[in-house]
Amino acid sequence: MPRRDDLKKILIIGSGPIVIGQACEFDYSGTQACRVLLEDGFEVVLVNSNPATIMTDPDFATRTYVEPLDLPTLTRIIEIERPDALLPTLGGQTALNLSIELVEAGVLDLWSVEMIGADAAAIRRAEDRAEFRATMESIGLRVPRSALAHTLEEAELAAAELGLPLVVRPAFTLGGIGGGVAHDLESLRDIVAGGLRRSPITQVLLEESVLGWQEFELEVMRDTADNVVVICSIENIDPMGVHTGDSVTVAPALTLTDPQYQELRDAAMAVVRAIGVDTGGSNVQFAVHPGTGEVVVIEMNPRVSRSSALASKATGFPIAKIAAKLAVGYTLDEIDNDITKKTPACFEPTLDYVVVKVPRWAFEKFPMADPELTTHMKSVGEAMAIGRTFKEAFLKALRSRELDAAVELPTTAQETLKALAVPSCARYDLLLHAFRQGVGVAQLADLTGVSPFFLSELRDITGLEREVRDAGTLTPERLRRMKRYGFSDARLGELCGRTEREVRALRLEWGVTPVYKAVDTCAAEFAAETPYFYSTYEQENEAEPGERPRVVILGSGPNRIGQGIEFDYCCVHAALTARRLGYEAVMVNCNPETVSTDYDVSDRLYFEPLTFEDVANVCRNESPEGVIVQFGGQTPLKIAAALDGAGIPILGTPQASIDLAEDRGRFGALLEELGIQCPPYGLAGTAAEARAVGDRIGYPLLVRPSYVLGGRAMEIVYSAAELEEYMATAVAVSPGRPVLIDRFLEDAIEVDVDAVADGETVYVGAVMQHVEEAGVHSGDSACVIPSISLGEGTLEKVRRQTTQLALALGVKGLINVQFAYQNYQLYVLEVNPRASRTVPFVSKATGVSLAKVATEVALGRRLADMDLPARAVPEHVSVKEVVLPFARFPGTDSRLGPEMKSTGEVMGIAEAFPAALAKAHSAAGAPLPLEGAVFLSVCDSDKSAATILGQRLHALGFAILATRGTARALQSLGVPATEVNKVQDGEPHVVGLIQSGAVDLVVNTPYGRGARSDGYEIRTTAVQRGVPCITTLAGASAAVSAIEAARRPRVAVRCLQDLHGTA
Amino acid sequence: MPERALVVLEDGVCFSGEALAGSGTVGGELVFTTSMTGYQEVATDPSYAGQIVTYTFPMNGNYGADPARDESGSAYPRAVLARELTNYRFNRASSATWLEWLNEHGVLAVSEVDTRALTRHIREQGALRAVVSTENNDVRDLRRRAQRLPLMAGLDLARAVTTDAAYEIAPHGDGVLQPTAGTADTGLTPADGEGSAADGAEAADGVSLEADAVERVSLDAETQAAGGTEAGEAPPPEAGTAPPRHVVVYDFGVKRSMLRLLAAEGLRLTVVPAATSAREVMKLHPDGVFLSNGPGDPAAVEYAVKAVGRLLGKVPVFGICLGHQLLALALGMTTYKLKFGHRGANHPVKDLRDVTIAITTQNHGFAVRESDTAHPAARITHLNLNDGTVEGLAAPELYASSVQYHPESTPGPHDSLHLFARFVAEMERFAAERGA
Repeated sequence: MPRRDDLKKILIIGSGPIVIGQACEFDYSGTQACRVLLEDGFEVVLVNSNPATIMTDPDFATRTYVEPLDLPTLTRIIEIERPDALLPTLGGQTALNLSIELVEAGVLDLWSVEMIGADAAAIRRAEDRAEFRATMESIGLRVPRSALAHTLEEAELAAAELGLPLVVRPAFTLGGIGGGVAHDLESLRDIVAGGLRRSPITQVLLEESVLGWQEFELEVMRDTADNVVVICSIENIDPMGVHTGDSVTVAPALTLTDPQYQELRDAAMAVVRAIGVDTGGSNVQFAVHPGTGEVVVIEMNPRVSRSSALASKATGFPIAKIAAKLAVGYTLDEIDNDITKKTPACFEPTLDYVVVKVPRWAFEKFPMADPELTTHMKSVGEAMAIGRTFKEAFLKALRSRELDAAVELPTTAQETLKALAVPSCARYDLLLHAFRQGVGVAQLADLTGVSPFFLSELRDITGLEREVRDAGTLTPERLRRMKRYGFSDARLGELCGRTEREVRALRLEWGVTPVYKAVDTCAAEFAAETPYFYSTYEQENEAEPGERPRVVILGSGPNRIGQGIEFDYCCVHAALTARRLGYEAVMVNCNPETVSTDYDVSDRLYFEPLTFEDVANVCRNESPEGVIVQFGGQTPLKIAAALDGAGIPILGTPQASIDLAEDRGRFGALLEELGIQCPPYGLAGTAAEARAVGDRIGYPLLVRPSYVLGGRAMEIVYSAAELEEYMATAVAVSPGRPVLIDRFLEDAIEVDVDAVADGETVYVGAVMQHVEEAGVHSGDSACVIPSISLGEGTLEKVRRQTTQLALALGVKGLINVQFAYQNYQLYVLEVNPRASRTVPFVSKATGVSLAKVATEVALGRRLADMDLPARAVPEHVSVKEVVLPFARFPGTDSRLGPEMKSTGEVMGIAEAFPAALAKAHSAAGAPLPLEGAVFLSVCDSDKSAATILGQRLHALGFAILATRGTARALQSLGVPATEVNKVQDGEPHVVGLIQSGAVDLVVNTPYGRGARSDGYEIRTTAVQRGVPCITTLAGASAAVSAIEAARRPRVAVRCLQDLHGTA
Repeated sequence: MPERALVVLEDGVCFSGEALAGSGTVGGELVFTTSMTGYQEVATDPSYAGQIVTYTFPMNGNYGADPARDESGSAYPRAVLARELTNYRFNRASSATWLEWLNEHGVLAVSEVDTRALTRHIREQGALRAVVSTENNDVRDLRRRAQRLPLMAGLDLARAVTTDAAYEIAPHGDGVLQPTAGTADTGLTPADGEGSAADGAEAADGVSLEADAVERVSLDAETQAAGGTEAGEAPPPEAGTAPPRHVVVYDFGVKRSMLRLLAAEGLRLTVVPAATSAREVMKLHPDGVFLSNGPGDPAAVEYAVKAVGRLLGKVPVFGICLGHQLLALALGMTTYKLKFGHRGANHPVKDLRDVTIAITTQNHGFAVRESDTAHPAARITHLNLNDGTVEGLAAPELYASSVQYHPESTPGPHDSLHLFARFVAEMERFAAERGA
C-alpha cells in the first residue's frame, strides 16, 4: 500500500527528560521519524519536554511544543493542533503510556485522532501482564509461570503457590523500575510494596524465576501487508537476572545453531502478529534454558526501544525511520534500503562483523546505592563497538567505557570469585582478572551463569595478554596479531613495559595500521552508498577519504551523569553546520543511543572508541583540516592535548586556551590582570597543604579534584575535620593532580553564561540565573532565562566579564562562565572554553542556535559576518529543571550538592517565572501538590527564611508539619504548625508519616556531610514514596511560587515556531 | 603454528590466511554465502559441489557441529574460508567442534582471511575460479592453475552428486525420517566423511581440473545404503487409512531437509538418480514428481530437462533451485549464469499472486529468464526484490510449479515451508481433476 494521503498532520510524543532506562535513543528515533515524515510532506506536531534533544529543534517539526508530557497539556495541544493521527511508538514508555491515557480519557475520539502504528488494544496486550500471558498462550508460547498481585497479601499468597525466588515486575513501568528478584519473604514484601507504588495501575507480576537462562532479543518489523522481518538478534552475555539495559550484549546472537535461531525467529514473528502491532518495530525478549533449550517469552515492547536503537546502529537498518514510513501506509517493499539505495527495506540485515554493547554506570555518584545488578536497570549510558571478531569488538567496547578510574581488582582469586558471586558493574573486568589468576572456564560458568562460549573468549584474551607479557617485547608479526584481536596500544604497552606513545611509534614504523570496513546491512553483497565505518586490522581499506575538505567532530561517548545528550546535541549541530558550509563532516563516536551516530547526520561516521589511538587513526585515514573537540564534553578535551601533540590541528579554541582555563595558577593570574574577582582559592597536593589553604582562606570550602566533569568528587566542607576526611578519598579520584580548594560563597546567587567568541567579538547567548543558591552543581540546579532578580547593572557586568574572559583566553567557539553574586559582589567561579550542558536550553529559550554559531566560528567565520539577532530579553520565561535518579537507587541521599547527580532536564516556558517553574516541575515528573500537608525541617541558619515560606504555604491552605525547632519558630510568628517527632523520638514520627502518605511535600535543608545526618531518612523515604522533596530553601521558595501559579487557570501552550517567529 | 594458506583467484588477486583443517591444494569456483547461521548445513549441501565457500559471517564455528544438521552424507565445498574459525562445543545440540567436523570430513578450512575484501571483489568481478593452497606459495603458478579449472557454465554436476540407485522413504507425520525396512539406520545418518570434496580435489597436481574429478567427491553409496529400501518395494500400508501419496524425487543433489519435509507431509518417497528417464519414473506410478536442488549449470543437464518435459501434464511437478531451472528449461524458458549468484538467508521474494513477501534462503549461481519460446501455460510467480530476478514459476494447467529459492531453509527462515503442503494440494487437485 502506498502513502496514506488522508493523513496531513501527525502528532509525535517524545520521551521527555533523560532518565535511567530512557535516554537519548528516543531522540534518535524521534528525530529520524520527524525528518522522514517532514520530507514526505506531512505536517509534524512534536511534543517533548526535553530541550536538550535534537528533535525539539524547530527545524525538525512543523510545530514544536516544549511542554510537559501530561494529559492536560497534550489535550490542550490536540485541541489547538487537531492532528489527524498520533504516532505513539517513538517516544518510549512515556509516549506509550500517555497515548493510552489520551485514549482512555476519550481525547483521541473527541478530536478524531487516529492512533497509527499500534492501537490501544495492541499496546495493552503487550503491556498488561495478564493479557500478555493469555496472548502468548494462545499462540502456544510459554511465559514464565506467574501470578498478578494488587496488594501485598495477594503477593504473599502467590508466593506460597509459585515458590521463591520470584521476579517482581510492576506493570507499565519503565526500565523495570520498581522491580526486582525476591529471594525470601522479606525481600518480596519490600519489592512488591515498591513495585505497586511505581505501577500506574498498582499491579505487579510475580514470576517464576528464570535466573541463569540465556537471554535473547529479536528486533522485528511488520507492515500493513503483514510482512514481517527480523532486523537483528541480540544475545545478552549476562544471563537472565540482569536487566538487558545493564547487560553486556552482542549482536548478532553468536551461540545459536540455525534451528535454534529459527525457533526464536518463528516465535518472535508469531508474537508480533498475535499482539497485533500493525506496523513498525517491536522488541521481543526470550529466555532459553541452556540445558534443555526450553524457550519462554519474557516480554515484548510494541514500540522502538533502546534495543532497537542498538539494532539500528548494529545493522545500519534505521528502524525508527522505517517504522515511521510504515505507520503512514508504506509497505516494506516500497521503501528503499537507505544504505544500498538499490534494494528494498524488506529484507533481513546480515552482518559480517560482531557488535558488543557495554553499559556505563555511575555508582561512584551514589555511594549508598546497592551496586548489585538486578532486573531493575541502573546504568546511565552505553557504548557500542564493532569488530570483525568478538574479541576485537569486546576489547574496543571495554575501552569505549571511558571509566574515570581503573576498576579495583582483588589480589587473590578467592576474593575475585567472591566479588563475582553477584553481578556488578565490574563483572567483566573481574572475569578477565579471574582468568589471569588462573580460574577456569567451568568454575566461572557455574558461578556466573555466563555461557562458556563467551567465557572461553575472555580466557583467550588473557592468554594473548600472557603471550605478550611472556615475550616481553613486540615484533611486527606479534603486534599485528594482537591488533587484530583488538588490543589497544596502551594495553600492549602495559603488557610489555612500554608507553602507549612508544607502541604507537613502533606500530606506525612497522606499518601496522587499521583499515576501515563499512557497515552495510548486507555483508558486502551490494555496494554501500552510505559511509558508516569501523576499524579493524585486515587487508582492504574501504574508507577512501572524500574530495572536499574534511572536519572531524569528536562525540561525547557513553552517556554518564554530567555528560549526556546536551553534548550530542552540539555535535549534531556541528556536523550539520560543517556540511552546510561545504565541508565533509566526519563524526567519531561510540554511543549507539545518539543522533550523532545516525549515519544520516554526517558525511562519514566512524563508530570508534574516543581514545587518542582510535581518533588519531581516523585522522590518519581522513587527513582532515582539523578536529573539533569543543562539543563533546570532557571526552574529546581529555585527548585534545595528545592529538595536538601528534600534529593534528584542533579547530576553534586552541589547546593552549583549554590548558590555560584549567590551570588554576595561570588562570588566577589572568583574572587578576583583568581585574575580575574570584573566590579566594588554593591548591593542595597533600592533606597538610589542604589544611594550610583552609586556614588561610577560611571555611566553608569547596573542594574538588582538577580535570573533572559533572563535579565528580566535588564537595563543600565546613571544617578542618571534614577537609581531612575529604582528602583521604579525593586523592584516589585523580592521582597526581592537585585538589582545588575555593572559598565557598554561602547564599550566593549563581549565574551561568553561554557565549560564542571568535577572537574579535563575543556573542552572549544568555545569562541564566540558578534557582538554587551557589553550592548546588550547576547541572543539578534549576535555572531561568531571563534572570529574575539581578539588576541590569549586574547583568551588564556579567556580560562584560564574560567578553573579557573569552577574548583573553583566545576562545574560538563556545565558552561557559559561571558566576556567583554575593553581597553586591560578582565572582567568577569557573570558565570552560567549550560547549556546556545548557547550550541547547539557551538555544531553545532564545531561538539562536549557539552550537551552529560556534561551529561556523571554529571553521573560520567571523561573528561580525553572521546575521545574529541583537541581544534582547525574551518576552517569555524559560525554566530548566532537572531530573534526578534517586528513586532508582534506594538508600541514596537525595540532597543536592556540588557533585552533579541529575540524569536529564526539562524545560518549562511561560509568560512568567512561577508558571514556567510549575510547568518545569510537572515536566520533570514531580508535579507539586496544590493542597495537602507540607513537612518543613530546616537547618538553623535557614530558620528565619523558612518562616516566610511557612507563611506563604499557610496562606495557600497547606497544613504545616514540622520538627520541634522549626515548628516553634513558625508558631512564634503566628503560623500554625503541627509538631511531629523526629525518628529518635519514637512513633509516630516523621518518616512514618511520609511512609503512610500523610505528607504531600517535603522541604528539608541538610547541613554538612555524612549521609546519615538528620534529614537522610526523611529524604530517602520521600523519594521512595514519590513525594516531592526539596532540599534548598531557594528551591522551596520558587516551588511555592509555582504552586501559586499552578492554582491559577491553565497556562497556555505555545510552540517554539510561534515563540521565535520562525513559523 | 597453523599452516599458512594462500587463496589465489584467476585474476591474480591473492588473499592469505591460516589453514586450521586440512591441507594441500584445491580449486573451484569461489562463492560467498551471507547466512549468519548454518555453516554446517551449507557445507553439506550438494549444491556447493565444486566450489570454494566463503562465509561472510566472520566467526565460523561458534556453536559446534552435529550429524543432525548434515544435509547430506558428505562435505561438498572444496574449501571453506572465514575470518575466524572457532573451535567450541558448548551448544547442547552439538557433539563436535566445527574444526573437528571439518577435519573429519577432510575439508580444507582457512581462517584469518579478509573475507569482506574477498566478497567485495567477487561482487565486482563476479564469481571467479580460485585455488587454495597450503603447500605452494607461488602466486603466479596458483593463478595459472585457477585459470585452468573448468568454468561452472556448461558443467553437469548433478550427475556427480546424485544417488547411484533409487531408494524409498516412508511417509511420516512427525517429520522424523525412519527407514522403511531392514536397517535401524535413518536415512539421515551422516556419512563417515570419506569421499569429501577436499579429498576428491587433491588431484595429482594438487588441483582437480576436470569436471569428473567432482564425481570422486560425491557420496552416494552411504546415503543410499542408509536411506532405506530398494525402489519399488511398497511400504506396509497403515491400517484404516488411505494409502499415502507417492512422490518420485529426482535427486540432483537433494538436501535431506527436503526429503524430511516431503515425508512430513505424509508422502511416500522414491528417490531416483538424476538420469532416470520419464518412462521409468512413470512406471513407479507417482502422484507427484519432485525436482531437487543441485549443483552446476542446469542447461548442461539435458537428459533431465528432457525427462521433465515428458512428465509435464502427466503428473504434478514441483521443483526447487536446480529443479526450478530444469522445469523452466522444460517449459521452454532459458537459464543464464548470474554474476556472482545468490547465497544467503535474507533474500526477499515476492509472490506475485498474493503479493506476500517471504524472506528466503538462496543458493544458486544460475537463474531463469523468461523467453518467447516459453510454454503458453507457464508464468512467472515470484520475483527477487533485490534484483528482480525470477524466483518462481508455475504452469497451473500442467500442475507444475517451482521456486528458485529454498523453502526448506536449513539454514534460514521458515517463511516458505508451506510450499510443501501446497505441492500436496496440487496433487489433490490433479487427482480430483484428472481422476487419478
